[in-house]
Amino acid sequence: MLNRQALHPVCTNFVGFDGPDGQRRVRIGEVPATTWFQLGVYPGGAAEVATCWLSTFGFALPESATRVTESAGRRMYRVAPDQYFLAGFSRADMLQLDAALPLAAGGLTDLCGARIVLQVSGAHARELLSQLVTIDLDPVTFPIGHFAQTGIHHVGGLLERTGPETYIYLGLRTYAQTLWEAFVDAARPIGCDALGAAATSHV
Amino acid sequence: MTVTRLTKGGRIDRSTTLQFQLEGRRFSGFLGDTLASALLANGIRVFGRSFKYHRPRGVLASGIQEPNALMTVGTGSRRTPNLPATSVELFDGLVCERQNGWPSVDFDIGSVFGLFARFLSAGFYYKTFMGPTRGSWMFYERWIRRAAGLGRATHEPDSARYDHRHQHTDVLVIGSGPAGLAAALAAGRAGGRVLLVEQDSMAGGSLLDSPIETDDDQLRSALLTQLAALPTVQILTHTSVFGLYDGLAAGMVERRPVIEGVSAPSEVLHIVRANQIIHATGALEQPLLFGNNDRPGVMLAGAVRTHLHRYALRLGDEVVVVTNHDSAWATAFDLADAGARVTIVDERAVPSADLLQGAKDRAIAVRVHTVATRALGSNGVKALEVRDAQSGAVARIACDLVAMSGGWIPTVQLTTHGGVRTVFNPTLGVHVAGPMAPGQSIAGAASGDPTDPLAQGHAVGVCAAQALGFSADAGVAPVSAWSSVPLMTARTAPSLPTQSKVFIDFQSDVTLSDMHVSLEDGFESPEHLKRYTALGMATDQGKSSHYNGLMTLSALRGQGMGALGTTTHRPPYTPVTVGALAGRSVGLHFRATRRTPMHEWHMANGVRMIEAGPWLRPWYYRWAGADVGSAYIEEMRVVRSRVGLSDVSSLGKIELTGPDVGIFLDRVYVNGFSSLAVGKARYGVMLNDDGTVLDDGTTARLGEHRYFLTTTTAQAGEVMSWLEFLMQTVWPDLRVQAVSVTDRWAAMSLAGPYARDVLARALPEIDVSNAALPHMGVIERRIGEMPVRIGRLSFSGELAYEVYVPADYGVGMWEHLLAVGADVGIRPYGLEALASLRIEKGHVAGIELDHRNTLRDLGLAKMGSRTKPYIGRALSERSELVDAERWSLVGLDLVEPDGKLRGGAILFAKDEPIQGHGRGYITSVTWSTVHERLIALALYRGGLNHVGEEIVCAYPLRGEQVRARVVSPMFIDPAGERLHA
Repeated sequence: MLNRQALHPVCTNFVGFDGPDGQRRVRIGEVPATTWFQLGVYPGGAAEVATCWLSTFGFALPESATRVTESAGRRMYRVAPDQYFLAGFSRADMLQLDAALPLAAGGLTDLCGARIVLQVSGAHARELLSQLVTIDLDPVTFPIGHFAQTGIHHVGGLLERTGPETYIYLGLRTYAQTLWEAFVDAARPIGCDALGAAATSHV
Repeated sequence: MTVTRLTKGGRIDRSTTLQFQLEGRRFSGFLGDTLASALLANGIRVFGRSFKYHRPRGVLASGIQEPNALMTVGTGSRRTPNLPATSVELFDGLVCERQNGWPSVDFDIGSVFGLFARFLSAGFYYKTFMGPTRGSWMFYERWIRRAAGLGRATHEPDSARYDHRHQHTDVLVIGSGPAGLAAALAAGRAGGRVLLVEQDSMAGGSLLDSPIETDDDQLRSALLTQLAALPTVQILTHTSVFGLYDGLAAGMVERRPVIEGVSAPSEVLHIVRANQIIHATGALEQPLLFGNNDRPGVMLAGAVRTHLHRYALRLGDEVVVVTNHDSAWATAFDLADAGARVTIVDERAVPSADLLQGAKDRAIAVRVHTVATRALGSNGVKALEVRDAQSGAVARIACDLVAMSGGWIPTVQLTTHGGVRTVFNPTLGVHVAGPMAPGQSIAGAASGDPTDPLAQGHAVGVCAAQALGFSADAGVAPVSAWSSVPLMTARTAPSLPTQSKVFIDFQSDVTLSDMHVSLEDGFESPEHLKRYTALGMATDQGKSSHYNGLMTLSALRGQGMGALGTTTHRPPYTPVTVGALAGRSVGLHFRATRRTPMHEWHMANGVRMIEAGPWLRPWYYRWAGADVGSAYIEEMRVVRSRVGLSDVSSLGKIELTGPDVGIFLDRVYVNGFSSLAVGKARYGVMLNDDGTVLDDGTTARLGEHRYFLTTTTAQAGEVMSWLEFLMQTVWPDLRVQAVSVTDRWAAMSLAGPYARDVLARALPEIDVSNAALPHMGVIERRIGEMPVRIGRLSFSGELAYEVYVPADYGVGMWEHLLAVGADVGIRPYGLEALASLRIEKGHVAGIELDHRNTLRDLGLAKMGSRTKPYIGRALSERSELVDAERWSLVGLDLVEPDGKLRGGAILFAKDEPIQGHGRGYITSVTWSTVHERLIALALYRGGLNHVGEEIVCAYPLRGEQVRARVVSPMFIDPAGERLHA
């Protein structure tokens, strides 16, 4: 059955444009889809979930609520004291975890396809994002590997710095078109290229 | 006013000539000119007409302080009114016009209002135009507004681009005068990120008012050079801080050069969050009060000096400098040095010997202990009448320019925004900032202490940086021979009786006599006087009038200014365009738009969309008709007779997991869910805690500890927030997690007699027979990699299934169902048909679920459990909410074949007078394809107790009244045979 990402074909047909001075100072595009799950911890279940997680995957759940934890291409965002957003985990991973999780300690929810990931990179990526989000993107306060829950147009999302001049934004799928248009519009004074095949997945 | 452009000096680039137009006349100026300086250089003296009396007005001040020279700049969609010509940078091709004159500013018929000035005092309009009838004001208002007012905005969509930018900094320095430059340098050297903001086109503040290549100029250059070498310091010129807000947030607008046809923004609204704020906002020079002090050619002395040194304009040949303190003498000296014949009129009996010697050296005539009484001249000043304070002798001094100065007051508007109250300094005679709030400091003239702003700036810069933990060497305070310190005092001679108008607020045309009237009418406090006279309420926000207003009120009431209090400064400090506030939140981005996974398919297949909250939903499809009125009926027929497919992805979808979900839902819903069997769904209603209905929807139990809850489209966000609130604050011990999965699933409703047939053929892997999937049954399966959820749920009253697949598969499943069902005539149907089908079935929806109705009102009272507690139960049993006479859900059958039922129609008993709020109203109307007539749902007093009665539906907006009969709201299939087919 036809399987189509949220921004098809808008993003794939995008070729970029020059800024007022003829330059293209950022690159934007949609990062190819990955899997998304949310792990929820019930009251009193934190220790059991942590133990179960460690024994299942061999690494610990993240403690930081601002720093991404990564292991073998699988990424974890602690988005609330009792909630973890999981990217890149296979269905087999989740089945294994689900089977191991004590029913009274925590639960998994499948969110595959519920998010889109936009990537912006280039020397002026920070300038573009400063039009959209209220996060202090100074490398000292927002270094590589850090993320922040924020919003664009009053719709929640998650911004992560994945490189010195590269960021990804996780948004709700149903707002994909709006978010894409917001990114493209914010690039008008800067000029931008399509990320195209360069949209390597960090997630 | 004889203006001479000097051949040297100034900060203009004489090699770059710029062409511009004023009302069709072509002029030229230089790069570096303001619109005001360019017009003055071209002989323009009258820049507009005043707000109320249509008096000719010229330039009074410089920069953003200017109250008079407001102009409209640009044409068509780029037309912007009320811009101070003194702060508009000249650019090539600029087009402008003056304001508030008809047929022209130079010959303005409106100036006859001046003849009736004695009748037009404060409060005149509100006293005079209230009768003879209640609605009279509305009649007069448009004529008054036409006669008064300022420029006209365009009605065309603004083609300019306005951006927003979020910035963060350690230290925000507002103002780039000597104190601001020193503060930024110290904080930057210490290691902090510094944002230095200057409203002018160049940094330097008061240093720019001195001649180039002097000590002041060299100091400015040196400081800017040092700042440029610091990588953590950013300087934003052309940027006005218009407000400070909680959390050390500042709003500021950066104006950028206009470039037609280019997508670069013309204005950027910066929202800056700082860890420390340093106010170095300087001081504002104040006018003197004397008759006709608003005439073109009467200017602030500092502005005259600015035009001399910055724009190389000597604004008069015969100049009277009238003042009460020292700083204006510098203007007199500089004008004399530039070749003008100057007379100084000083209220003081004995100015300093140095000043007198300086005047003598320049052959300047000096009159001490003398005050100005009135200016003479109409479109330009021709003489100044003065009076010797001791002898009372009156004299006239011929002149073409009056440079006045009543002293300087600290610019404390922004500190007030920042929560710092002003306090009256009796020594200075002005209000100054009180004790600074945490995270804020003040330096230079803004503090009320004009001595050594460099040392002050350095000290606060170091303190701000250290407070944030930056301890690198900040160096020592810059030292300079710079000494042109404005005298920080503001005193004006007592108001003199004069036949001429003494203007206190130039922009609002508030005169001394208006102040008298205000007091006579009992508006005595500064706050009341401000509202009664409009003093300080214009676009200049009282920068040239606030102080004189307070001082005059103090004199008239015989009360010290300190005891009098003051009005409160609020944002914006400078005008902000609506475009800058809106930024890019325009058009489709006025608010975020939500689209379903099948959106593109709908768009490619003849849909007409409709906004439903943030969603764009299919309204109707063109296959069914060219307009909604015919299309939705055709779509309904397909569903009732064959099978239709509708996109219901916008339904709120929440997945709940945990061992206590059943308990949780039992408490949230009026009916029970812990007893729901796995593989079953149940319709549920939840109440607000006040007992009214919050939302409804179906909830399916997918596993022992896993539920799938749906909400209405409209209430999805509210329900999710409500559930999270309850989990986190009311029952934090319950082991439940709720996750919104609205974005995860594409949802479609397959409805109609052939629905099972189509579904069975489309998904042969899944048994959807009546036995395997009965009404309110739910199954979950995987087809390859694709999970599928199917619930046998019906909103339309037909045999229907809701099919859920992951969003990425939405279009695929949609197209598959349409393809399989083509042989039985399947068609997509939209929201209008969906909402109409449910009316026939008597299902309530958002319009009935308006947070005012109870379960009983909606005919759902039997759902409420009598054996368990739930949110809203206690308050739903209040006597007012169980009154049998409450407005309750009924159906209405149209009795008159040619009549029309309309949503919102007010309901009355048959023989009741048609007046007042009636006995209820129609909530929803549709054409019934089953009954072939209009039917409606309504809320009617007493509800179903009136079944069979004939009532009147009145629609006053169209003057219509039709008769209808109260019936059951369930117009079709009361036994549910279709659902269970």
